[in-house]
Amino acid sequence: MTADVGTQLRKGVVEYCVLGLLSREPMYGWQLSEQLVAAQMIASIGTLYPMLSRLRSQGLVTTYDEASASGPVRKYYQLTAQGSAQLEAFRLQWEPFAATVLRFVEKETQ
Amino acid sequence: MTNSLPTVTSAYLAQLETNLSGVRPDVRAEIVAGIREELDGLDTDAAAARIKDLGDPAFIAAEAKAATADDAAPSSSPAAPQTEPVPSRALPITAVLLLIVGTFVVPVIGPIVGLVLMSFSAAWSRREKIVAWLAPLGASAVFGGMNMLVWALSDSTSNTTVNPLVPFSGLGGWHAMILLPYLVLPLTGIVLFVRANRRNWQAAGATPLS
Repeated sequence: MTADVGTQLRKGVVEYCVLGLLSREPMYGWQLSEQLVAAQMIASIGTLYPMLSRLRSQGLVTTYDEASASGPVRKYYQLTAQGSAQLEAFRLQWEPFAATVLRFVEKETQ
Repeated sequence: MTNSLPTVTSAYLAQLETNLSGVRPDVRAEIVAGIREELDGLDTDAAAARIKDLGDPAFIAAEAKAATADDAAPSSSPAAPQTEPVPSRALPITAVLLLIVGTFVVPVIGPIVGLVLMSFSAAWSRREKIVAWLAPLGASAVFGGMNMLVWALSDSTSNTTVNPLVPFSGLGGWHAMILLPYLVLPLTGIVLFVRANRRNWQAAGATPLS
């Protein structure tokens, strides 16, 4: 058992959070980073890119370049069919899993 | 586009690159490119504000190092490309050479030493090692069985006496059974060579047979 429970929990689910964000729309690195940092799922953009690299090597996300309105070409990350399937599998398991954990750890009501 | 970067941006990117030394090159390039595209096109004030949001490059680099260190750890990920390299290729290469060449140069002893060395190498999985050991024996046994069948059939269909000591009866007789490993062992060596070379002689992930 570790004192930093939050870190361990985040490690297990943060990749699925990225897949979840990308299932809504393709996003570039900073967009993803802003949302994940704000939600305290990652500490900085430095955690994000190794994760994106891993997801891409697993065939769960892919990238394409697109020029932004302000000028610079951005690299967008989007979900692949395999990534969608992986996310769907996680969704199916997450809710009953979370409910089961809660059943064990929640405080008993008098 | 880098020509028009404000000084604050250039300095930040340079510091980031320095801090990221030691991070896997592909990840390092992706981080720098991702942050550069975020700062690209911003004037000095806007860039300074975005840099403040991005945070200390040393912290970003430390996070990236920690995240890629996780990648290097053993993982069940199907696509994890980074496996621990085998300390030396000398052992597995000697093993396959003994199987391929040793079979003819130093019959019997050569391939047996090759098989033993192969067993101690991490370049092949336990399954590959077992198959390599059983291949010559299995091939001889199958061939022997087929010979017996042919002898039995020829016994029942002709009156000629078959002497098992005479070579080239049946499917080649016992001579062929003895010679068969001379074909199977080099072939086994070639297959092992191809499989290990395809993995760049890195550990196959199974416990070495010992």
